[in-house]
Amino acid sequence: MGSPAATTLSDDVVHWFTDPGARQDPYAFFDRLRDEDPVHYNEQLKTWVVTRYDDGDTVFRGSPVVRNPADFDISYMLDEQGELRPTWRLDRGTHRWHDGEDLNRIRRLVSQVMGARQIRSWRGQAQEVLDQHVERVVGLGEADLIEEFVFELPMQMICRIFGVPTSDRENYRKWTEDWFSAVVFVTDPEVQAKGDAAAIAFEEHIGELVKHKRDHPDESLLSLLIQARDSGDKLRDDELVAMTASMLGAGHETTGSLVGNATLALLRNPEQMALLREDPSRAKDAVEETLRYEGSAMLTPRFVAEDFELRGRTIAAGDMIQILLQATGRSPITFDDPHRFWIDRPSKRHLGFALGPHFCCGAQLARLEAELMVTAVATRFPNLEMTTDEVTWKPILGIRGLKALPVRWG
Amino acid sequence: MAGPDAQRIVVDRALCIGTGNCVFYAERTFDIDGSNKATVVDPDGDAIVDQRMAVENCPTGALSFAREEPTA
Repeated sequence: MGSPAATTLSDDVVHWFTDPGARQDPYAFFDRLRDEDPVHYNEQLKTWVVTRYDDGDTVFRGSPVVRNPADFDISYMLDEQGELRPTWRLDRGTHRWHDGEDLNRIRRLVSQVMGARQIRSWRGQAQEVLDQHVERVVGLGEADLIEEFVFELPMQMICRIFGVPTSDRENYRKWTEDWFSAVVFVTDPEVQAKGDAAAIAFEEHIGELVKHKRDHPDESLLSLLIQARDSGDKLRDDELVAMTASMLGAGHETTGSLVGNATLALLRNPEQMALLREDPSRAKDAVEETLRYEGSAMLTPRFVAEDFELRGRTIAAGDMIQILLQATGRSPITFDDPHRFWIDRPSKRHLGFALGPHFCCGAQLARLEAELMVTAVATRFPNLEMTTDEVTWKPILGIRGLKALPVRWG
Repeated sequence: MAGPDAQRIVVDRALCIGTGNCVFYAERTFDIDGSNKATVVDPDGDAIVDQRMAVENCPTGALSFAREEPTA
């Protein structure tokens, strides 16, 4: 943390949430918070903070736990005129803020294209896209894998699933980063303004995509969402735009970052890389272990619709709970030797995709893409090594992802 | 293999939201049906350890083991 010894635990929590510098190596802080105050209430941030695996599990599956309680104060999402800021307008249209039947309505739609069975049928195509990309990268001999490798497959696949061209991919990456940067505990007006501009640009762009797709319907997820919107009360306009933006964004940022994290862990634990090279079918397990050890979603909020007891504390109706996912993955009560990256770990539990009704819609797609990419990292880049020991992490609170991963091979 | 201690996997279709997580952990045992609900296609499709992983990691707690009734 680098904070003076006199600071309280509460100050350190505020520091972690608000200062990207504090999040470079957060694990000692997580251990301390989990030991000293596992169900922490932070007066300044007005949120509960949960760090144990078992408590995270309880919250995710808890019946009074929701995303959008009736009496939740959304004033921090509003501008001077009392309107939702563009970043929040876009965010609130996603299923992330839905509960109950509203959530199921969206899940039913999305699973028609993103369900486990449907995703399995994309495997051959994903492998083909990846192979072509690896061919291009492998000749370089040296590259930043974040810039050159990890986002290519997720971006190509999510664009195919939505039936939209990849020509705007650089915009998608930038808009997503700016949007995601502005939605959690952000008070910096510059970051907010950038986020708002990105949200507006994203909304406008999706408006154009929808217009075009309406005239050229096909089997894609976007066509399906448009049909749901046009055929009655299955999808609202704002949901159509928000779901598209959210999946085009989350569909590459989180999966790409996950593969970056897996690669870093494998490079820092050469005996694990050796195990994977010996039997590349372990890639699936390496991905699950990365989801526990250093998943790419940093935290996720929940709210309680009625008073909720957790580890002897009463969480009052309307209160926010932030679950720190990487902290839960390192819980010593649940995981033996939690700070060890161990791809053959017998337990495959983790909260990397959350649990409960909001379990990640894209989990099976992310797993497929990550498995293929981690296999490629282990088998297609001989003598892969980092060119620097220092790594820096993105300043975005919601994402655990590397800014760069400079490597060489050959 | 079904033996004296064989356990049957039960899907609570009211709780299942079709995340496909069980198919990931035990792909020969489970599938997702046309109503987007998990279904057991082969009770002996995977090792018991994988089936247990699927049951324990069901995001909505829709899966459980029930002891098989002894046949005659």
